[in-house]
Amino acid sequence: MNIENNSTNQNGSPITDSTPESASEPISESISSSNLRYSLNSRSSAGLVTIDSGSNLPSRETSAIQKLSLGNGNLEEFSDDSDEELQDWSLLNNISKKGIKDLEPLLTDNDKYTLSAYDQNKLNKARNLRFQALESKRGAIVNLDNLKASTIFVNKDNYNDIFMLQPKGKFLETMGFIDNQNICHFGFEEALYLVERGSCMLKFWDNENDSKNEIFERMPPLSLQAAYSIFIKNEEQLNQYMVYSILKRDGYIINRNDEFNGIISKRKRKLFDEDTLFKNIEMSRWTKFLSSISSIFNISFPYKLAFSYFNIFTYMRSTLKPQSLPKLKNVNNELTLNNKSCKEFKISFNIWKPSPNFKKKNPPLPDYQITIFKANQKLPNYFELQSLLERSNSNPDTYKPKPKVRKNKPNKVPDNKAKKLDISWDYAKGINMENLKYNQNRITLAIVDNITINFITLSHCNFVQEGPVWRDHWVTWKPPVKKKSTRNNFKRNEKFKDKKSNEDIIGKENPSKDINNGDISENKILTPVPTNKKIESNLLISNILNGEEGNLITSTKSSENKPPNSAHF
Amino acid sequence: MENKNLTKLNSSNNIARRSSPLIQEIVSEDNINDDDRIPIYINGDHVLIFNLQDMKKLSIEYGIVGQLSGTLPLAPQQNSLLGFPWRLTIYETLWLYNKGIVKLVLLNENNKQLDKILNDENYQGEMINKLSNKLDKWRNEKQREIEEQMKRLNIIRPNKNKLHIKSLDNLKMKTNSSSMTDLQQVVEDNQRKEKAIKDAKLEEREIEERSKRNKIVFMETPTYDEFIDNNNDQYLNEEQLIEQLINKEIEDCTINRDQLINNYQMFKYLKSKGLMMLPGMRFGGIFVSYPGDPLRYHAHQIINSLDYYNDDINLKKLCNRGRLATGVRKVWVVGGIVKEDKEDKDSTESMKCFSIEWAGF
Repeated sequence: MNIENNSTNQNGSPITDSTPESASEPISESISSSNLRYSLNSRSSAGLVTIDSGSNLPSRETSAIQKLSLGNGNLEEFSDDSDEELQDWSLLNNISKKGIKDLEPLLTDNDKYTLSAYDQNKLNKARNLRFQALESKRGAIVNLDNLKASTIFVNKDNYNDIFMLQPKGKFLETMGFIDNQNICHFGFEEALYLVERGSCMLKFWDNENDSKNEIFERMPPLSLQAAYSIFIKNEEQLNQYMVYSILKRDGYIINRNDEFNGIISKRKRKLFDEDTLFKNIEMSRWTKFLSSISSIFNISFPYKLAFSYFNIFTYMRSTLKPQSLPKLKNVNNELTLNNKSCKEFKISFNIWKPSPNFKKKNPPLPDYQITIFKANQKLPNYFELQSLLERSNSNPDTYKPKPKVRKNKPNKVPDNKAKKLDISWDYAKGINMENLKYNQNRITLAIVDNITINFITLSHCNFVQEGPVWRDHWVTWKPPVKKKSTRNNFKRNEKFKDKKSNEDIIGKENPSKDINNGDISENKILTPVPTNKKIESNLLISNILNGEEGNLITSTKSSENKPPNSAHF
Repeated sequence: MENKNLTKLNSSNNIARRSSPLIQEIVSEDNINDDDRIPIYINGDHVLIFNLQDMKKLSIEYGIVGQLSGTLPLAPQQNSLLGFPWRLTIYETLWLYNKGIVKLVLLNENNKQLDKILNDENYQGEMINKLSNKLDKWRNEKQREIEEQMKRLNIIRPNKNKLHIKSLDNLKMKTNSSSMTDLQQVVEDNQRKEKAIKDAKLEEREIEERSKRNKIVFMETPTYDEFIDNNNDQYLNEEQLIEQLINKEIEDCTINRDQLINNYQMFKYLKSKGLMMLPGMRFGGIFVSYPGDPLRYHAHQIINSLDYYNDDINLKKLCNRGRLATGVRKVWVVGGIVKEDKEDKDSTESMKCFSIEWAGF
């Protein structure tokens, strides 16, 4: 390991403003002069191909029209110049390509504070592209007769009263709330998003004075800055908006949770519910008979007569059950204590993967539920997390494979099939990883550091609830024979692999001695981080309840790169 | 170049504003004339910039990185390229204020600009006029654009009308020159009538179309408003704003005021070395530093700051951070303020940094 003093000097390099060119003449605002600038730069660095940015310039109006066709769908006669549009996009994409970045600046030989012409040229180009993109106007092509269809009004006396008088547009499928007078009400984040996108404009509304409304209507729309100052009063709201807009831009459907305004709802279910916890453990009649014999005669369970692993495991389960119950009570008592040091975090948003069948009036269970944290905030403690998980209610089917997969054979009767052992047909009761990882009690933490946002999903799971897990052919297991790689086979192998890896995890916690009551497993879902860098984190936080106190044990697990969202954007 | 700038800034005004000892560390350098400073708007606890000119100036001249956070109207359905607002971190804000480059203006929901829009009738009239002018301009531009495009596509042949008129004239000339018979006159009259009716229809349609076209306009939502000066007695002054910013930043968080000041000193030191900083959550530091504009270069260092005399680097952390940073091709830099005389509060301070790299044997 090296420890060097002050080695930052090594890489210390000048800020790019140090060249005389840029210092004397800040990068030009207008298109034509920026063109000029490019040519200047290219002359100074011989052999460089210059891009004439002028011809590729994003034409503002066309982009606006494109936006409009997303929103309103009229005025299609303008959209025939789509070729130019495509060029703009590739231009935009150029900046985001990672290959354009260099490791470090090339400095000129004689002056270590001056960038080389090559670097200066490239830097200016990158900057100009960005400034040009930023300069493009936001707004929409509208019909003056029908302005209200794309205007959002905000009550001048109450900035929380945001509405649209003649709601129209595709975005209404997933946004806003239309009351019985056909007025669409928005939350601040929705209104701000639509304004920022250019789909709608924002104007004031006076409830008492109609003549003022006329003036407001004739005035130009409020600026984006004004919209921010109206809607966003503190950092909490800004963070909420950040999360909202990032997910919205990625195509998710996102709505407020009931708790958005800070009223914490009651918990939806107990995490450790006796009734559901043991519902998976039903002994066969034969096992019941054996266990009753063993208890009556006070002898140990006749394992040799049990005939199958299933019987043995279920019996073992049943002996564990009474041991774990008192602990459950302890857990529940502590939760009801309403510990004052515990803070209630609210669930801010419900999120759905994009779906054409989405109905905002009758939405399905959300795919994710989000609570928002500042990066410097403390991690909520176990009970706070538990409270969050108890209040959450996500769609348990989010991660489930599509129903095309062959139906599982019933779990219970493996006995008579034990003779026809076929490795390609996995009839034993393996653990269902989907159930373990992703059940209804799932919460996604959005951690916001300025504008970088990380999403981490915590979900609760019960090993106990899954019941006994075994494989009768462990003894005779051989690696599966590779068959012709039809699609189905491939899938089955995948499944098989999954189970193998599950065993690796489960193997550590010997199922026959399993005393775990619950487990929180966690894994990362989506990281739409704005600067294209996606942070991979995949943790397995397992909680082992020993006696009365909960321990949080954190361990890292290599990430299985399952893209969480098959969303089409 | 930057040094020159700084000396210029320092020499211009020597009235230091030091009322609150708490923020002395931050408000220690001198400010220049108010008029030269760029106004940046503080909305409660965050700084957002909407003005492209200001952004250009701050990023090009002063090496401020900031982060764009809004939807880019050009490409609204993606997250890699974003648009206004441009958000400054608290450290950037403090640094800019410290250097006397910006002036802090409170921007809340009761700001003067909104008040003007709501109540000032003159301003309202002015804005309405501006809007109609703007729309006219846009219509003209669009009209020209469409005509050019049509010409390119050969939908309108240039001079076609003129040719037509010419031929008519020729016809007239011919008819005039020839001896006029009644029949000819009748034919001509009919032609005239037909032509008149045609023209009238054409005109009507044109007017209709034009009015239709005039109704369809590009309505722009401007990004920023003109300069809003909200600072007067009833609002907070700049120092109070800074104080508020800091308090909100550390409220309910794992870092305290001293750490924030340490971080700021670190930021300031690295900035003076010409590095550019972005928030470092991605790699578990306070900052990640870039050798130039992050638009063009990859980050080199992950930065943490500590209290030089009291904090422990922690051997485990040392290994962890060193390995992590090396794994992502960076160097972990940790530093703190060293005083010449530890006991003396006013002794000269300097920053001491260590960079840790995982070497392996």
